[in-house]
Amino acid sequence: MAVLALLAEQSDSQAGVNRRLAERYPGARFADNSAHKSLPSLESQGLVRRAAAVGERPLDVYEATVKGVELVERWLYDSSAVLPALRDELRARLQHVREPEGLPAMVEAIEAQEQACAGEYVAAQKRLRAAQRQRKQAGDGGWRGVVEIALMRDEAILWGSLALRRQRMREYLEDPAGMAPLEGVDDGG
Amino acid sequence: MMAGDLLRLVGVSKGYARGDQRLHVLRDASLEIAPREIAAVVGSRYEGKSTLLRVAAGLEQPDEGEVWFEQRELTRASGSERAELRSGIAWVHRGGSAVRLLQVIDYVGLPLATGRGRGKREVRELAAAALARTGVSGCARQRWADLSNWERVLVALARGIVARPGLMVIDDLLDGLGPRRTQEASELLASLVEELSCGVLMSVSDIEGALAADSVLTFERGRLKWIAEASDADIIDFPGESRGGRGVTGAG
Repeated sequence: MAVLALLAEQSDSQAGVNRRLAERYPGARFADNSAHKSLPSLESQGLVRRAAAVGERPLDVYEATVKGVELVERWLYDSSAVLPALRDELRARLQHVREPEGLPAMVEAIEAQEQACAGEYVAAQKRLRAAQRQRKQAGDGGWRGVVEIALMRDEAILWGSLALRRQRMREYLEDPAGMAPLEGVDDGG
Repeated sequence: MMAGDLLRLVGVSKGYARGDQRLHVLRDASLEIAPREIAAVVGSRYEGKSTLLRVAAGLEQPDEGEVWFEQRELTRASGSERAELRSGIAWVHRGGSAVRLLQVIDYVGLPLATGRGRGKREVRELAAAALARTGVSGCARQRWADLSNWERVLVALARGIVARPGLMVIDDLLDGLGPRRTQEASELLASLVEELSCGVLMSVSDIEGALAADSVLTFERGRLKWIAEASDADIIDFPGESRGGRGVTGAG
């Protein structure tokens, strides 16, 4: 749907769609060839088509059809609640870990994820700051900018929170009975 | 001033006696904060955030380790020296018992009112200017109980800047504000840091409150741990003006 939504905004080549996917969805980890994989299917469903060659425009430019634009509009304003899936690999691996032999390796894997999430937090926070600075300098109070800042804040918060959640999970697994001697106790604040 | 030398904690441990046991709240905590750096400690209650902040602000002595402020050791300072050092550190929080008895303007002026030889009129003028800077001049004659939660945050920040401190230590001020107010408070804090060239060590209960911070730390069983470490470029780049260089070293 992301590929179709991008084409509904603006006709583009496969490479252009891939570039915009990376720009607009920096944390989504779309594969480099996402457009290449999605476009044939979207085309066969009549949701996109190849745009007519005009002047020097490359032949592989795609545009959304009327049907495709309508589908994007319905998707955008759909009021039904669709729960995001808690479907990450680490949680699945934890479901199958053979205790106690497997636990040290899992703890190590969780710690690696903590660090990776913290790295994503830093990257997302940098993008947010750059965007805020750019908006401030440009005096941009437009709607698109507001949405972008909201999404960037949300992404940074998600990565930071995930890093902390992973740490909490690791601490719990390392000491499930809470037997660590007198640490992390009430300091009144 | 050299990079990273505004506030330095080295191997700080702190515990409290509970019966015949010692409860270790901080273990070997080390951090450095540079001028114009905002560092946030993220954590839930009872993890040691407030203890860390109180030790950093010189309000409590650590059991072990050193606290340095502006290249002078706070932990070994004599009474008068310690008081002088502490006058460069603002402790910012959402009010204590004294605040309820005072008009806001007098509460904000409190850090100037003791031991600085300033007259009441001058203190009030400076407090009024601080309140104006944070946008709550209209609250000057009110009492704490009459203020909204948001106004309390702005009044607390006014009290924080009134003495033009080198360091603001901010305890849970940004918690529970909601996204818009958190962003607004963060932007205000960043601009105050610019104006005063001060550093900030603050505690927050969730990562949203830390978004304006150059460095983010959390606790792991009483030990400090970095989530994000500021680089020179981070501090210089945000929010658009030069913020001076610094360096951050790892923590315990």
